[in-house]
Amino acid sequence: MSAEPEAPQPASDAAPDQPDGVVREKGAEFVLPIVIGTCAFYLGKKATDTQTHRWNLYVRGANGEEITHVVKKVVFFLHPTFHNPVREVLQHPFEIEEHGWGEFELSVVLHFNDDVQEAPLELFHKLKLYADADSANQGSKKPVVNEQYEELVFSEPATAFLDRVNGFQAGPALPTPAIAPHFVSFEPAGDVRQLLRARNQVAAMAASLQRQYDQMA
Amino acid sequence: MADIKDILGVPRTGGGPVEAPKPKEKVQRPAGMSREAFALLDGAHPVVPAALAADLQAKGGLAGLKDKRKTGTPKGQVTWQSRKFTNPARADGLELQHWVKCHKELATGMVKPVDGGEYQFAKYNKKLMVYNYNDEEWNHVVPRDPDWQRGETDYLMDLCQRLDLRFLVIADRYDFPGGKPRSCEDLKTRYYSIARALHIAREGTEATIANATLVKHPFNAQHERNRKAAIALLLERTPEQDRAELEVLEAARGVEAQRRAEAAARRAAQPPEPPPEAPSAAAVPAEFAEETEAGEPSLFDADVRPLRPRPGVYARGAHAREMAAQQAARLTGTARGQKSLDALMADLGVSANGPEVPTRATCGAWLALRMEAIAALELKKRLQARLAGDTPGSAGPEGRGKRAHKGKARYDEG
Repeated sequence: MSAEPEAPQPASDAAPDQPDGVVREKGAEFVLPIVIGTCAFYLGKKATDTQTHRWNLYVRGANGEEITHVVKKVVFFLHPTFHNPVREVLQHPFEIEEHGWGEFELSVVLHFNDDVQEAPLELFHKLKLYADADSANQGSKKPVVNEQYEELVFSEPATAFLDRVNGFQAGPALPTPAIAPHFVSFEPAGDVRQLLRARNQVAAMAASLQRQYDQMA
Repeated sequence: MADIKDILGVPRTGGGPVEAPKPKEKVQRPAGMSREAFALLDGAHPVVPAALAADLQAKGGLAGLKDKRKTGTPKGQVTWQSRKFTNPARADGLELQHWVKCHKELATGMVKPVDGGEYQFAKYNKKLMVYNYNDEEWNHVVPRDPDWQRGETDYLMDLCQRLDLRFLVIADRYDFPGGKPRSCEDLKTRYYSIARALHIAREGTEATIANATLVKHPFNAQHERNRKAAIALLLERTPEQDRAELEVLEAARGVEAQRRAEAAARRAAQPPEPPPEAPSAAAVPAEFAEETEAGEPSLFDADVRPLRPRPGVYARGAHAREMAAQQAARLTGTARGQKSLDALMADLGVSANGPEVPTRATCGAWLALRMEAIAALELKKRLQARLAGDTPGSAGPEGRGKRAHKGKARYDEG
């Protein structure tokens, strides 16, 4: 889905001098968990043909923390039919609000601070306005939320950047955005359990197949 | 009152309700007639066929109907003409005549379709290359055989030329006045030895054309006789012989199966069967920790080993999807293989796009699951191939079970 700067290769630890001349911390990693999300409110009685929903599109830290120590600005690419489809947001909270009627795929480009020394990273997300068929909310109160959890893995980050963020103290609490109550909190435990169960099932299947195979031979 | 009753049709004596009028049969409006005209008809004025004939007359009568057929294709109207032709394959210039399908263009004259009038069958007149010698070659090249005089040899070559090397026919028609009876093999031997000598002489040394079949495999009369005898024998087999052969084959198969069963039993008896293990290949752990040890990268490659990519920033979920694509590409190529992998993942209830929350633990587990699923599918394919190879066309209980459902039954069996 995302376009990465280059295809990853298992590089040795003793990497030669980087061609881009950046001083990097070898063997180190920095992980920033973020969430890209959309939150769409149906306008109910006030809806018109061209504007049935009011929606927000944002990038936030996964636990509501700020990400400005890493992200300098976020550029949202909307559908070309929007006026000024390229929206840049340079401060917390990184969000935009719009009106519309259609669902489409958005692209979000994260630009990092200068000392990160990385090219901007592009991610994709879908704007969802209508809930899935089974849920029953068409009231203008409950929004349709589509959030996507991602972890940004900085492999061998620039030393200067790493030093700065490791000593980073969160500043005074920033005002929480109005849509914060709708944020989803992501817990990996459910996935872990489900995947483990699935792996066990596959293992059982494979073992049984292997037994049959051996009996035949 | 009585008048009214009369008008209404109520029976005077009073009685039951009025009889419903007999249901009218519905008459279809004929195609040529307008709606208003049809509405005017009733019992006393039925449809008259002559009225329908008016339509025909408008189009010019029956003759007008026939015209439709002749307007024909864009190329013009189709006609058939009887034309004279010659066969280019013939040497004698014989002229015959036949019917040819032509298109008549409305303005100009006619053009023959179907390749513009060439005789279609001339191209099938393939000629065979039959070797023959001239006097000089007879003197120097052709191997001398005391049995074959010049005259007889010439006669043979002429027959070969005329009959296109159909030796069975040649042998049948071979009748050299004053010559001894020759078998088909004799004729073939003589012809092919001459042909070989001529070929070698014409092309150069034996080495340059050593690969030509004529040179590499000179005619072997004994082999030919054996071959014909074998074919004759096969043709004359009786049904009893066929049956006997089938029985022998069945017995052989039975013996083979028995031998295999014994080998399997022996193998099963020796080492006690190892209990099925949880997936813990040395490389892939059963669980992944969220935190890595110091210095160990947290991304995974397509083999679910820690991967340190080129320095840069990566989105873990997107990266996991790319690794998944690499895994799928490794799967034995076919689209069906990938579809069965997707189906298996769906059966297990696992998303095809990666875990909901892409952390190190979940991405590792997801990629490991895919890798193990691919391995299991490969094993299944091998097993099915084995089964099919063993008993082609049989659907044993195993085969049917596997084909019936992707493997949910197997989960229950454990």
